[in-house]
Amino acid sequence: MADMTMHTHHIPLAQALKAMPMETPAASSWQMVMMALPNASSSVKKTQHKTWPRYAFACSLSALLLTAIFFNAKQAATNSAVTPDPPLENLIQQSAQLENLLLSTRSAIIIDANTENWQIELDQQLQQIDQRLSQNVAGGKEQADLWQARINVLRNASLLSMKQRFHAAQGSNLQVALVETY
Amino acid sequence: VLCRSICATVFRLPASKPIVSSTFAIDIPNKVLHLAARGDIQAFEQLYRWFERPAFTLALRLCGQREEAQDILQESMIKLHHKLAEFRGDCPFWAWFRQIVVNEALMRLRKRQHLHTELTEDSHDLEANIVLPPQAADSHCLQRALAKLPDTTRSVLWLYHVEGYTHEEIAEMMQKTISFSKSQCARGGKKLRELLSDTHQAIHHG
Repeated sequence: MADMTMHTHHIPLAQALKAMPMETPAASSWQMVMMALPNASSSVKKTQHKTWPRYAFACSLSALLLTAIFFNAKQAATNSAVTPDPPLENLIQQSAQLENLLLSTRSAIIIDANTENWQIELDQQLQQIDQRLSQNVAGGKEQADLWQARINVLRNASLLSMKQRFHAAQGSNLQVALVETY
Repeated sequence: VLCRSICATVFRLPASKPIVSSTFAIDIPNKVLHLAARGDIQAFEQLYRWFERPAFTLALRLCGQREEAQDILQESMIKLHHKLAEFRGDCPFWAWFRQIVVNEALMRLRKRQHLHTELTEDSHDLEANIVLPPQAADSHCLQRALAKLPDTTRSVLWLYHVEGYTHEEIAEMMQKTISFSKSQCARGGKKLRELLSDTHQAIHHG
């Protein structure tokens, strides 16, 4: 019976190979590529200080960025009672900023299973939102809501990633810290 | 998953265009290309984000190792930056950039003498249209079987069946003969079928 199934479900070689999913590198190589580019390398090199470990610099820069984004978002939320929703462009820009931040903060640090589960959950939420956005959602409030939801998910994912890095830098564990807090 | 979702956003096409899976369909705005060619880092970053996964996937299929594929991706992107001004727009951008990635991957394989490892079994039964058992639908299964093929054989299979290169082109790129490309393609397909059938038997007959 199994053999009969085999014969009836043969797949042409080319079709099988073409159906393989695209692969994703473990970490983005953009920073490395950018450092090697003639225009960017000079400006990037200036920002590096020999006495600072690279990860510390990245962490502090990310923290600053995140603080700035949170501050903007908080201010926008405060103003939302009296002013109209922020234009879509602002939301898209904020989303892009957070996306870049998330890409730069997520690294190959080994994480525990719970944290990884949260990451996967957030990634799936993000995927669902992107799916909705790609379905030609009519403009206006629904689209803005989706972008706002995207920002919220990215913000949570960035926070998780930042906290993970912070605890890793201190030699502690995010999971233990959360248990102690809650 | 994150990268997939980010790419889904990045690859999103204008409403009037149908969503197609072919990488050739990635529509690169001329403005982005011009800016990137003139040294605009942000425009080049856009190109990087667009083509990171297609280039990485191609490199991985040819060299078979993730770390090496990452190196190939980096080096190809740097070369892309240097050569971008040479792109005349007379072919799809990916077709042009893809050649850079393929050259880089084959050069690395050649340097490490991986191109000398190939299937050499004597076979007079070189089938042209090979079909695979149902396990081929499981990408993990297929990936594991592909990883067991010699680098050269896997590269020829991928370049011919997926990227659409002709045997003449593959022979030229690999500095081999046309019959070499044809035989590697046929033997590779046959070997892949055997490997997948073995998996099937292992699962169903313990």
